[in-house]
Amino acid sequence: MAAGGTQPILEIRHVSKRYRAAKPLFRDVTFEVQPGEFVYVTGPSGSGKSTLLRMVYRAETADTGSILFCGKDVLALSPGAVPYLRRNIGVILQDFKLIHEESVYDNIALALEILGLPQREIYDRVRQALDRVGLAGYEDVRAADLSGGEQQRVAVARAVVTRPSLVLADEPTGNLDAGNAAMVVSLLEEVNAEGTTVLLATHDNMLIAARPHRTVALVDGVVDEITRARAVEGVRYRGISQEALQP
Amino acid sequence: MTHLGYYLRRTFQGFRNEWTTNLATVLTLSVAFVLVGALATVAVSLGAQVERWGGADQYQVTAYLAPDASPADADRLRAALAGMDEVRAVRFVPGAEARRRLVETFPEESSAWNALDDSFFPGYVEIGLDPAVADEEHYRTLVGRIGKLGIVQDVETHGDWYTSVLGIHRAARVLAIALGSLAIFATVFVVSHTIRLNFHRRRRQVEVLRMCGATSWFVRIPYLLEGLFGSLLAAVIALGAITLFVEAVRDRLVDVAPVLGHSPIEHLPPTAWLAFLGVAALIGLTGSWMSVNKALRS
Repeated sequence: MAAGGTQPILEIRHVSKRYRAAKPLFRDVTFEVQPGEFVYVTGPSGSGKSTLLRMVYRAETADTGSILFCGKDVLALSPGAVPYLRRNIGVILQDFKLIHEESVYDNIALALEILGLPQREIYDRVRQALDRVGLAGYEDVRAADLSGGEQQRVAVARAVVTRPSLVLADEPTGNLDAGNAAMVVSLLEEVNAEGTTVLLATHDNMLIAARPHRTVALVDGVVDEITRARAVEGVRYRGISQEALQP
Repeated sequence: MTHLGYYLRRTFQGFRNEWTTNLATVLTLSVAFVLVGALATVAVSLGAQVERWGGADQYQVTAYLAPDASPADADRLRAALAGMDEVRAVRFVPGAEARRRLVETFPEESSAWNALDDSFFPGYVEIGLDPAVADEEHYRTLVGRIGKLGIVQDVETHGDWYTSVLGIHRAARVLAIALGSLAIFATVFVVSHTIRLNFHRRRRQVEVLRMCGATSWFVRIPYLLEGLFGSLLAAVIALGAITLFVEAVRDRLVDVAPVLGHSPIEHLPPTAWLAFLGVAALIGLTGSWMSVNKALRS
């Protein structure tokens, strides 16, 4: 999906984070995401991909820098404003984060209940979201009774049912086999094709190779853009093989 | 208001999912509330007794006439009493009526009462005193003055009964307040710990809610309602148990203490019910507020 608008939907500016004084997680990370883009954030384990995504929906704070979402610095938001930021961002996590004892319907409807929508609209939207992820008819099934792939599809449905402008997916395929992983990424690409911006953190080189999109790498604490041209030139990034970068 | 349906659904879902913990809490609270409610019932019953014997309306004393007193003497005494500032009401009860009242109160011994000579039933005067005579010294002086009126043989004041019941009433009230305060303190912590446990069990749900953009209030309200409804349910159970108990024993106690002419135990008045439910609601809200706030901060 090509970049759509002129103003970036997400601007990450000089963001630094350290948990230990001696070793910063990352420093001076800067990049932009245009509306409608599909962007991978990659890098080896522990490089700070998840932390960076968590910062975007303010589950983490940065030591320095700013993160502008639709022009607003999310790191400067008051605690009371954070929920309203999150209502505009769909989040998908590696461990699905479903409420196991509740039904598929209730898991998805939860995101709409927060918005205070009427029950009729909630019902319609949940049905549409389930249709989209191929789980029509699963409304009354307990989340715990689903397979891993099905659970992640429910998580995708929950993330997109509110029609957010940005979807953050943190290692969404990390717990899935190849078939289910491909299905989940296809779903995210469909969502992206309809105009929703997707930022997907992964260290799965095969995925990046198989489904090429713009890729931002966090390596040794700094960010770098990987273009196919640079990959072909033989630029090597730790944790990302040359082959994986081939289309 | 748009979220009310959601809050109620979550609250009852929480009750259902953690029913064993919630049931144990409701029963624990009920026991505590029954203890306080029972003590409150004792205090209310004693209070009613104090009222009857000389409370808001009047202090009642009885002046027995000498056996040789004539109706004219009784009229003179009535006039003398009516002239006293502290006397609010005077009623002369002739000997025949005194006998009839005794027969009515103790029907089993009616033949014995009827066999007695008229001289056993002197007429008497029921005197209602102004409540301003609440001061004990003033009361005793006044009773002394009545006793010195010509044909009065004896004055029955119920004073000792009154004083001792008043003392017990005051003690019961103090005990009810002390035990009530202790129970409030303890039950707030019981509610708080239950809600904390429920919150911990539903930690994932809270994480998901926050991730999806729920405000702190949106997360908090179902837990507050859970504490509120649990506490109110316990209060209703306790009040129901006390009401049933009072209803069951009230009439039987009339036979135990026939001299009173009424049951010594009373139902809690509606104001006490409201106060009880109000305090229970406050306990539920405070307990859950404490735990949810702490959990949301962590």
